[in-house]
Amino acid sequence: MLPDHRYLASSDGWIFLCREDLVLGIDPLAEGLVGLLWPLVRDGAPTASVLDELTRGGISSAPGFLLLEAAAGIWRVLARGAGRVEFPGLDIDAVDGSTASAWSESLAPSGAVLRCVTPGAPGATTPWAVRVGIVRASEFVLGDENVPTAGSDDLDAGPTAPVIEAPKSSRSRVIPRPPGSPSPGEDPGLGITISSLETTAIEPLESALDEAAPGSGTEHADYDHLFGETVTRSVEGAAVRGAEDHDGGSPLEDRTKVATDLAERRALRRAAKAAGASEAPPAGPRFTLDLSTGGREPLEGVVIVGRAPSANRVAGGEVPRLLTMSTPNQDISRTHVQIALAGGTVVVTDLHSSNGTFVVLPGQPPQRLRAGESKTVVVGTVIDLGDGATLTLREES
Amino acid sequence: MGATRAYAWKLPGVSVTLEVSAATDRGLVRRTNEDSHLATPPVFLVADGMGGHSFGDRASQATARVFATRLAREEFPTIAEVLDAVREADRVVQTIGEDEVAGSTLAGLALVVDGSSSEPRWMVFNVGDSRIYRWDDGLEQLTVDHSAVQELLDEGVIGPADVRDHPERNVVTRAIGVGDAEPDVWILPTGGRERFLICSDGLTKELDDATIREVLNASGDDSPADRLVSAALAAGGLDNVTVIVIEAVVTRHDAEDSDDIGSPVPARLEDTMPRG
Repeated sequence: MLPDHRYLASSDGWIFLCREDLVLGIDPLAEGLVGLLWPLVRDGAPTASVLDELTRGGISSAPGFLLLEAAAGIWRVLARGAGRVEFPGLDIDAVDGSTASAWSESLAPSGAVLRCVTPGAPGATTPWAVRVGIVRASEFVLGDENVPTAGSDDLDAGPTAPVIEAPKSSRSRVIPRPPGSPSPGEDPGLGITISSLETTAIEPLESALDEAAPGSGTEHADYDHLFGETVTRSVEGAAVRGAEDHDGGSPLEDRTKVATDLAERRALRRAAKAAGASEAPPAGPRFTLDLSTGGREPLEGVVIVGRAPSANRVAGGEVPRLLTMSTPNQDISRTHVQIALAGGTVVVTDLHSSNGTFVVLPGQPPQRLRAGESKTVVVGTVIDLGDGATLTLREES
Repeated sequence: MGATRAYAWKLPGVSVTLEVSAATDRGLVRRTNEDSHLATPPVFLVADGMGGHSFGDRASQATARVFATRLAREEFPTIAEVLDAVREADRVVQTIGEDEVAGSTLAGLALVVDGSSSEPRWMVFNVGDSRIYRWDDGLEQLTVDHSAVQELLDEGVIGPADVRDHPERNVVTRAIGVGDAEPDVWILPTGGRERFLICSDGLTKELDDATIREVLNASGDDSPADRLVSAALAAGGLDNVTVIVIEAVVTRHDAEDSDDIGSPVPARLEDTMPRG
């Protein structure tokens, strides 16, 4: 359950309309909107509907507001006008309405403390609690936190507040286009369709299937088509399916067989994983690549180097590291060369580059790799992509 | 329902703008929508749930929720973080449905950073038969389905013309929540103007590539995602259909004048010519 909200009462503060998972603060100049907005806030309308009401007359005439909603484990925060929302204890920039022409928007984890700060005279110094209602306040605080006091900028985050890192240099700015009219029940920002809300009047799928094809297993391919339902099955399962169909089992039974097959695979996978987990990774020398463009990159697994490298259809466990090298004439290939460390050995492979790859082993003349050719190299080797781009293999001491 | 939304990032040396629309519909025949999606930059995904009772929609929702909780934030995730989210989704969905299998497909696109480099890249990842296309002049399917039909195609047992009515066309061979959720991954450079389409099979079973392209290239008051969903419904709407359309412009500029958004770099520099 979300904790109570707290606020510092102030007779000239912003007007805050709140329920447990949504808080809307509006500039008192727009006091006349309270009557329209309160039913939406009270009755569980999503951010999108509240936003529609706020921007009914167009964005430029919308009042200043702060809009915060908790959904799917995160807070979504919007700020327009003179108010801002701070995240004490978290490395997230405040969302400041005054910096955006439309509104500023950000996300915060569900455990965060969110402090809404509005212009105007400081209000009371003792916070009061509120869960659902309308108050005027100079500060309004959501989330687990000790006592908020006006002007204390070094509040500890509550113990549940996770630390998330946001790059100080970056700032996402959401500039919605003239808003469409998202349908109620849909959070257009998060885009998670909570289809379980539709569970009224849902009959079990199986009973519908039985009606469609009573007692016959052979027809079930036909209503697969009808329902277009995705099922999961191993290839082996798919191969033996014809035989199952003649067992005379109902479609429901057929589905259960599929499930058993997959449950077995689950168990096998788990066992295999547990067995594999006990193998210690082989310890070996640690290599790095010194780049002619400056910098040093660790060599672990596979590195792909190029002007704008890409990796195509690799297994999730074997994603290579991509290294972009910019050269004066943009004269190396987009995806030029692969350098792979496997079992303590380093192998260089030309990836069908336009101009080829030269490998210079210590004390030897340069050798040109043919398109697609691989070569094992040793520490001290220089890998030359042309246009001044080289990588030198070093062993970490 | 799925208005186009615009997003912008300004990072050292690079700025990113995105226009995103997303739409979903339960279709005209199915009684529930077992598709879920997440369209919160920098992560986009479509998940198509499967399993009896309400397990299918719980599976796809759980999948989207894991990504929303872990990755819906300003900072671009790393490739490892995205892969961790896939594993976590697989773990969470395995707890749904107990002995009865619940599973979900997953087709995802994320802007990622890799290690020490701050250079944003596209990460495309898929498990199952939801798809990601790149849409340029033509429509290029980036992902390869994990499906029985795809395996039959690969082996040359059937031809492309046989897919549409093949009895196994709804059978996937990998799924989130079955314990073998190893995704296929593509890492692609960013640059210039790029457009992506993520969809559940409810779209591609109703509309062929030419029609999808036509609908995308048409204009109208509705967002591209809304137009595609409407077209899929008009073509039959036999399955749940979910679509996310992403239009991205990634512009590089000198780190020194990072306040200045320069003119876009030439889109998709051609490969270099051999040196004379």
